Amino acid sequence: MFDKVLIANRGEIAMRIARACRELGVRTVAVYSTEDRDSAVVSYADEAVHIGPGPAKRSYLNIPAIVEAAKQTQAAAVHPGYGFLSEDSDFAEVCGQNGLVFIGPPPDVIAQLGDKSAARRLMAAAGLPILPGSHEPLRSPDEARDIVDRVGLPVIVKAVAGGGGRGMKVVYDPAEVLSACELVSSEAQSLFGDCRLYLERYLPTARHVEVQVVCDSYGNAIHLGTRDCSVQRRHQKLLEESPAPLLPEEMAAQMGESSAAGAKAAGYVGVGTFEFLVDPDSNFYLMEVNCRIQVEHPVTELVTGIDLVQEQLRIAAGGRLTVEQGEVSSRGVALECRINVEDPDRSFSPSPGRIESFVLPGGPFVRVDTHGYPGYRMPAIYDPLIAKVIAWAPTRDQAIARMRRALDEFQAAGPGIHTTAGFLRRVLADGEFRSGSHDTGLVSRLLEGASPA
Amino acid sequence: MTPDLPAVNGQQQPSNQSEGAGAMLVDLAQVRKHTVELLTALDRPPHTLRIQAGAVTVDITWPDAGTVASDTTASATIGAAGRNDASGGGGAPAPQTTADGVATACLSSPAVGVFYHAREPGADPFVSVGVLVRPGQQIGILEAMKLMMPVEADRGGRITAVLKANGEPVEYGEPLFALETEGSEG
Repeated sequence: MFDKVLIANRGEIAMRIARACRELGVRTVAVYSTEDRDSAVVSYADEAVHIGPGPAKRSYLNIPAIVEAAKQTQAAAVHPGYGFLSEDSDFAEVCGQNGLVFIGPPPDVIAQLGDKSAARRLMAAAGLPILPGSHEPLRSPDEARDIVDRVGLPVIVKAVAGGGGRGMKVVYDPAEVLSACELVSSEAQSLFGDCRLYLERYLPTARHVEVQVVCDSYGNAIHLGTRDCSVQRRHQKLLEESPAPLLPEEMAAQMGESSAAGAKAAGYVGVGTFEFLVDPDSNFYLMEVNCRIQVEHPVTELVTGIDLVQEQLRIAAGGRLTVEQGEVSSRGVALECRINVEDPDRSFSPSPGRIESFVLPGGPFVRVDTHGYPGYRMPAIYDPLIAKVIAWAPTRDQAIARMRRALDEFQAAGPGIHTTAGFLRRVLADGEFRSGSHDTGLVSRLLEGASPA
Repeated sequence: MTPDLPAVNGQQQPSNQSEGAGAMLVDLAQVRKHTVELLTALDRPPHTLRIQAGAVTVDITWPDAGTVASDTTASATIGAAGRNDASGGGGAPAPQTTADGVATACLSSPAVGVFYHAREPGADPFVSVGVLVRPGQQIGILEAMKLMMPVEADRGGRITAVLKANGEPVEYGEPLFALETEGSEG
């Protein structure tokens, strides 16, 4: 195992990684921007290095600063968390060139799976079902029209380099195909520096189901079951659960096996996620592969008993998988609510500020992953996530009841502070959600049903 | 900046000390360097600062409290200023003006890396104590991932202390040099 790991991230995931390291007896180095100098992980970690000013481009996305910080503190490995540099193949490569272990897949695997168009090709060849659409990045407007004629409307135009719910647009009207392509292309150029596009059929009513995979560097790959992430607003997940409800067992097994096979085919190492859309007729289609630990990883941890961040560290240190597929079992149901500092009554606009009163839920089978504390000033320039409340119970109904109880205990108050906790309570009370039959349209239906206060 | 003036006794008037000639043997430049380091490490300007160099005594008082810090080993006080809180923030700390219109400020590191005083080993340093620097003047070199970047002064003044040794690793925002800016600050 490594002596020392540098955590190239911030917020709750930096704390999550630091805790896993501590349990494994690994010393930790936190890096922080000026904006985060009072953050929880800076005092929790064994060492901390100030890497730059607030804007992420000059701190958490600043590769030379992070590599220098790792060298100064003699860290052996770098954990990138999620977001920021976690799926940056250049960063993974630079780490390797500087004698640092990047905790994640090899750079060429990240590059191949990060190119959504190449990933579609590779995964189709590995036998995974993909939505009908383009097989290569689009070359001309005529080609876009031809594909639309072939697959039918609606279609979704996506950036080859896209991710995190950005760089995509749904098209319902044939007259809008070209303008949508132009829009996404220019957005993708500014967001990702890559204007290439691809097209696939869009499923208006579908469930977002994903499979957690874990692979070691000796060619072993297993899956840890499914998560449902259909409770989304504008492609941003709000609530997740494991296992996916009402998913036929044989179909879940098939999704799991094909994901593990796909990971093997890609030469994957570490933990990863295969994201699928499931249509009302129970067909599933691969959307994309995420080469990082996911925000929603705790729900899988609670039902399988496997610590995914510890697994990442062990695998990166050259360890073999500690469990075989046959030993993996999923027990009960786990839910996760993402509590963002956003105002649901003002179209989820961020409401950062000083959190004066901060009360976390407790009690049996409740876990809270957070970097917040009473008096914490939530910066305006980063992700609005303040806490993840996770609850486990033997059945889904009991897990929902437990989560409602936990959210009732949660409190974050301060001047101008609003959170999504109240909105999540509405989701948990919704009949469609409680039946488990909801799809990705649930949140917009809930928001349309109630006029803003 | 005029309230909370640090009254620095014993730094510029060593004759105030009753020990007389014995204390004069202490290197004035050393005292000055450590004083600047100490002031840089404080999170707010003190009301008074008394330094006795001979037997080494440091007394600091703030306007709202009595003597907050008193230590007979000045080096321990200075050493206790941790690397994480020494920088205080993003850019250089605001200058602290003394009664005679001289302000102390810092030139800080623009990035994480290894700091060098000179263009190459053995060469003269870009700046040293007593040198007057102009804004934009090169004051050192920062090496990050084998890339050598010039470090320039973001303000003018006279260098009063070198706070980072040649070849020492630095973090973003860490003070590299202390300097005095004369007259009214902008």
